[in-house]
Amino acid sequence: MMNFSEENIALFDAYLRNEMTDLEKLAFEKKLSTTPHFKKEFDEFKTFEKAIEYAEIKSFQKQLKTWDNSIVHQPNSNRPKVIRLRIISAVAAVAIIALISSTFFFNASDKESLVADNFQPYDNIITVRGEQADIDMGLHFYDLQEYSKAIEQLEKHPNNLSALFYAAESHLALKNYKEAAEKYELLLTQKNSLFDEIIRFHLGLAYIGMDKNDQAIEMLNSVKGDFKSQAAELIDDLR
Amino acid sequence: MDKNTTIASIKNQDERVVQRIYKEFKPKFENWIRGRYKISNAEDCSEIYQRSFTVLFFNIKKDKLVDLEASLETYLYGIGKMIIREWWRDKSPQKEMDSLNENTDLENVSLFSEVFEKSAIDEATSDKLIQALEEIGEPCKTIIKLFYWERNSMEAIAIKTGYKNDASAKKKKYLCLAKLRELMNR
Repeated sequence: MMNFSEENIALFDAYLRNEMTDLEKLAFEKKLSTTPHFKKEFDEFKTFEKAIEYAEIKSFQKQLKTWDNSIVHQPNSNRPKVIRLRIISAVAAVAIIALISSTFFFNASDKESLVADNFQPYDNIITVRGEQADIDMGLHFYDLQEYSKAIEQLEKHPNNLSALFYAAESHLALKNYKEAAEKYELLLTQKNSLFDEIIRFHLGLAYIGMDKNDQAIEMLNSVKGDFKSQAAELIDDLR
Repeated sequence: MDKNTTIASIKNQDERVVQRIYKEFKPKFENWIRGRYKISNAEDCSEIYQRSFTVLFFNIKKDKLVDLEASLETYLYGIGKMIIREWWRDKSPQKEMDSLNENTDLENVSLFSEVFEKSAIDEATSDKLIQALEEIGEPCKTIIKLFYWERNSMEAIAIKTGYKNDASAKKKKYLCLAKLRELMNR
């Protein structure tokens, strides 16, 4: 457990970065020598900072291990070319780990990270089905997170607002920001109250993906209800 | 790609170049360990290579290879000798290996220990912190990486992350550190 208090972070940082006046420094050092609890907090903060620095090395080594695994799991060309399910699963697992580590250690695009950190495809809440087989099929693929297939089915019904919404969500999941934005914009003109909050929030994310930060802030400012605080945090992040 | 271009690409953390070099040097390096130092266990060879490559990477990142005359691979082997010496001391303190007493002509290699000096941090703390960093989200992840990993000043961070000045960026950094601590303590 790291038990240093939040209030002391600025103080510890100023001391460690040599940003205090001589007088402040003296007072700080006196408090260190006379207040054991304060000294303990300060030591924990220093350990915390060292751990952050060390995490860089650990993350890099984690990345190297995933590269090693990808070498180990490459199918041997001398063996019969029977691809077993177990091998596919292992390669897929390695690829997923590599992707996670890679985006963590090596710099991912900032805008993509911001969108990814805030985007959660909206749950499929369409309970009445059977009217349109294509939409049913599209939502089935959406539930399976097979977004390309979902789009293919859902876009057959451009006038169905639910199909339009889930097609937009699928595009955003695939980082097709422009296509997602076009659909959300169309939905907003329809005054679709059912998805209004989430449309505004996700349209804001699509604008971030398109590097349209001003439009993103304007849209996020219009978000109300459950997503309002998340939108406010995002605006703060953008500024 | 010539040596200086490769070094510049590694310094810029160009993933494709780092991965290519890592995979390219690996088989020969591990054969060298097996042949010269009689370390036959594949996991040990792999661990020594990973540690050596880590030192190579961080020394490049910290600008310690500016005037390198030898090739990158030669430098890596120099690091390897130091790592094997340390590794052998940890594994078999009594064992003497004459070949490990050889001097390396690469002075910079002696700086290798700096890369691992933070190893006083226990594994559990380190794992928790990495997990917390993966979860913390933006812009905290970027701010923390720029400050602690890339050694950027708060002025530079403010410019890169769009804060109006270093004071605003610093305030955000404090909030991010508090959030990181909270995620770690969960």
